[in-house]
Amino acid sequence: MFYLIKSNTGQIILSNIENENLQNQIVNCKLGFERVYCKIENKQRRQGLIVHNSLTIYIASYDESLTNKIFKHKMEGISIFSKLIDLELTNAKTQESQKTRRLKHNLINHNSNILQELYKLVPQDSLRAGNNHLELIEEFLVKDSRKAAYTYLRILKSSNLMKAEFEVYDMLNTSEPYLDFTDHQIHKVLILTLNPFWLDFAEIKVSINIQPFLEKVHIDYRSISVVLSHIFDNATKYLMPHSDFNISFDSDLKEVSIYIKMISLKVESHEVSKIFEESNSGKWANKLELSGDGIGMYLVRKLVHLNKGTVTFHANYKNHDTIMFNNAPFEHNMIVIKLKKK
Amino acid sequence: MLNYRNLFFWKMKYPPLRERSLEEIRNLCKILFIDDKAFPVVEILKTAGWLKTSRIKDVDNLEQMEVKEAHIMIVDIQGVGKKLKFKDEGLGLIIALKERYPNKKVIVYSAEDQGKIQAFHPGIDAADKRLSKHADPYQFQITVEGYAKEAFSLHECVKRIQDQIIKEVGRSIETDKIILKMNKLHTNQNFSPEEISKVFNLQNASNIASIVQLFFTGN
Repeated sequence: MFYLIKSNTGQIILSNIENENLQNQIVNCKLGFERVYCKIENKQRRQGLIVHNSLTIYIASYDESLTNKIFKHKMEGISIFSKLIDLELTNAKTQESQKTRRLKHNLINHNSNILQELYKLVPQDSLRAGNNHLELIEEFLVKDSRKAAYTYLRILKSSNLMKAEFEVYDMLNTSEPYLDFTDHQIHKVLILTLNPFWLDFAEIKVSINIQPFLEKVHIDYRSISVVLSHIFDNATKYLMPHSDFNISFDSDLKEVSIYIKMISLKVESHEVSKIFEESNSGKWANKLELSGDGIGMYLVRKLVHLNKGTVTFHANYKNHDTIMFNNAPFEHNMIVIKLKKK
Repeated sequence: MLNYRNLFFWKMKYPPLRERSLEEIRNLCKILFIDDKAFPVVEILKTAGWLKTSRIKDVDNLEQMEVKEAHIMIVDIQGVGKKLKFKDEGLGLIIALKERYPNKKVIVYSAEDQGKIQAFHPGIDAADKRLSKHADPYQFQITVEGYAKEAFSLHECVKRIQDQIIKEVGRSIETDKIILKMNKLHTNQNFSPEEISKVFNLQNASNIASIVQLFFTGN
């Protein structure tokens, strides 16, 4: 059996026909099935054509023991498999482009924030040819050093979020992501990941209280810092202005528990079980147009599990009345993360 | 701890051994980046107190001074290992470095980690650790701190000697006794393998000797 498979751009992907004349003859086949007299081999030749979205398959045979019926059966078999391959290929392409689009979308947002922050500090048109750029930039920085400090923090945050995007892309698209389990002081890791968000908390007048804690946890720093970044990023969006953001710890022989307590946007009781599901955003988050792509908490749980830990969400854990602020409902909510000590 | 040696300290050439501070360890430990491009983390480490941090663009030969003296090497995957014509650049270099210097710590770092080809390359396994280029300065610091302490902290060194003796002869020696032996070597300033095997009462003390020599002499 001879075969020749072309892509939809006309390129030959796969073929076992070496004779170029025969190749040229076979690709002239226009019918689903036909019998032709082949002048190259001076023999009868059966040939057929199967076309799918991305593939064109030509098959041919000189085998005289084959009947037309058997040849057509073989073609049917090939047709089924080519449909399957075509479907899988289309699915894979769609999946890949969705992932890439998401990554691209988020990276463009973060990067444009960085550029805009930089140009806000030093206007783009002030950097003209012939100017001494260094002196000019220095002038802007000195003139409003407080503004420069703000810019620094905002850039730090965007850059860290970009990093988190890359890490997540790596971790979710690798069958066995590389995890580097080492002992880390969880308090230190929290502070390091919280730093870039400090300004956002200050802007909504939220005061942060972190209980001192010296114990270590056995974690992969990379993934846990992504987890915390997502939680803090969400917190800056969903916390009630002028409230407290409290982080405390507790430990037993095996694990450390981190309690993140806050007054944040109400999570309806029927939403609690869905909070860690993919592509799911809360009712109030949607209403106030604060919701993102709904991947945050899904990721948080996935990455905590990679660290052999657990994460749970406790809505209205104090059972207090709902607090209304700017027409939005807020409640005492808590996230508990448990991480292994060794 | 009071022992008679301390009572005659004026007769001693060297004060008794004590634990090194992190600052002392930072001053001892030589960190070498092998990277064809300048990378700010080199300066960040120096600012953080790791004064003996330096970078070379590539390795000319495995015996070159910088490589020989380094305790921790941080090797980029791309753009290095060219001068010695290694296949797979940095990954080939890592294998050669680990073969020549099995006791030195080699960290592989790269912009594109996790790639399938790299993940299965023996060079990745030969390295002691992998770091992504966008790892936080904290990750670089905590990694070098861990390795530097392994080599230069008295506490870690004693622990490693204990583990090694258990592994080799199945006998456990108390921490105090090892410190006493270390003090003896320190007082006489003789770190030859013969002396070490005599002090530790071992026929073959080559592994212990390399831990002890590194701790005292940095080599």
